[in-house]
Amino acid sequence: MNTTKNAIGDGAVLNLLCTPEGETWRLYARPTWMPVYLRRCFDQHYEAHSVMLDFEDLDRYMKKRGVQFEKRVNKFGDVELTARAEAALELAVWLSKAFASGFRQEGDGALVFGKTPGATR
Amino acid sequence: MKRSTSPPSGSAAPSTEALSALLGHTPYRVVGFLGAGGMGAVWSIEHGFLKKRFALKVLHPHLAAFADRMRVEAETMGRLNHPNVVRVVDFWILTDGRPCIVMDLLHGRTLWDELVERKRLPVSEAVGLASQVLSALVATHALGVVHRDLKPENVFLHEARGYGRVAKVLDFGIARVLPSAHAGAPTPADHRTITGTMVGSPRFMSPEAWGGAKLDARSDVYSVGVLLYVMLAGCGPLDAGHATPPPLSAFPDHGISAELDAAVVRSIQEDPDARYQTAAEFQVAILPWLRASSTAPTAKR
Repeated sequence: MNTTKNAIGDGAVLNLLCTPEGETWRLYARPTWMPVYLRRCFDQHYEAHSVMLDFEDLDRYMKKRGVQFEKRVNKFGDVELTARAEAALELAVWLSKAFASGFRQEGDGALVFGKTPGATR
Repeated sequence: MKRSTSPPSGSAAPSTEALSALLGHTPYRVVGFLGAGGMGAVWSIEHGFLKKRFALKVLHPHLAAFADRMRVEAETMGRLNHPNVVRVVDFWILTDGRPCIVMDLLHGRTLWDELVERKRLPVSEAVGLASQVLSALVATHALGVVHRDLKPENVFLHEARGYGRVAKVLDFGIARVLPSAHAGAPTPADHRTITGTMVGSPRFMSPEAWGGAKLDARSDVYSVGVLLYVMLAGCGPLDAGHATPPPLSAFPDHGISAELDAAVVRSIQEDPDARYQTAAEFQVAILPWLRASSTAPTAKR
C-alpha cells in the first residue's frame, strides 16, 4: 500500500446532498460506504445538520491530495458531492473536520454541530 | 496561518476597528486578522512598549455561554509553561464581556497543513513530533487536565530560530479538569458537558469519547496514537472503512518496523485498559525511533 491508494477498495462511494440552511448546511448521506467515525456523525436517517462547509476549501484540499470528485449544484443551491475509492476516503477526512465538536441532542440522536460562521480552520 | 488585515465578511469575528476600540485601554494594538476557529477568532497584536507581537484569541460573541471554558483554557496553558504548549502571557475580559487570551505568536503551519501537502512523514520525523506532543501531554495530565481535542489542526509546527521546528499543542478550549486533579489545577469550568454530547474531532476521538463517557488521560493517548498512525501511513486507522485498524505493516514501503507498528497499535486499542496507561509510557515505547530525527527533540530546548 502506498499512502491512501489501495487502502480502500474501488467500490467505495461517498455520496452526499448538502442543502443550505442559512449560513450552515444540512447533509443527507446515501447509506453506502462511510468510515465509522463519519457514520457516527449522522443520525439513523443518515442526516446531519448545522454543519459549516467551505466548498472552496474542499476543492483546494482534493486538488492538493491529487484526487477527483464530482460536485453538482442544482437550481435550489443544493450541492451534491460524489467521490469514489481514494477520493471517497479523502472526502470523508475533509468532512470530519467540519464535524468537530458536535453536540448530540437528547432524544432524536441527531447531532448539531457548533461551528461558527466565518470559521476558517 | 494565513494573514489578512481584517476578518472575512460574514465572519463572527469583530472588525479590526471594533477590536481596536475594545483594546483601547490596553498596551496592545491590532496588527491583523489571523484566522477563526469554532470558538473564537485569532488576531495578531503588538505590545506598544515592548514592540513585540503576540496572538490574541477572542471568543465569538454568540458563544458567551462558553466563556468559562476559555478561562480554563487560559489557566491550563498559563500553568503548564511547557516548551511544547503555546505560551499564554495574558488573559482578561474585554469591555463587552468576552474573555480573550494573549499567546505567543507562532511562525510556521499546522500539522494538518503539513500533512495535506506532504501526505505522510518519515518515521523519525513522525515519531519526533508525536514524542513532543506526548511530552506536552505528560505535563498536561500531571496538572489534572485532559486535552480531549488532539488532532493535526491543534499541533502547530513552530519555526523556532536556531532550534528547527518545535511542535506546539494548541487549543485547550474543550480541555477537562479531572475530579482527581490536585489543588494547583485550574478550577473546573462551570459549563458541564451534557451526557450524550460528542466533544472532539471524530477522526481522532477515542471510542469512550463517543457518547460523552467520562474520560481520562488514556483518551488523549488514543488520539496521539491515531495522530502518529496518520503521520506514518498517510491515512487514519479507520479512514478506509475497516472495522479494525489495518496494521502499519500493510504499508511495506513506509519503512515501519514491526515493533513500532505494535507500539502504535497498542496506543489505539478500543479498550482503554489495553492501551498505554500514560502518555509517558507511550513516549518511552517510541523513543527508539527518535534517532536521526529531523525535528528538534524537546530535550535540546
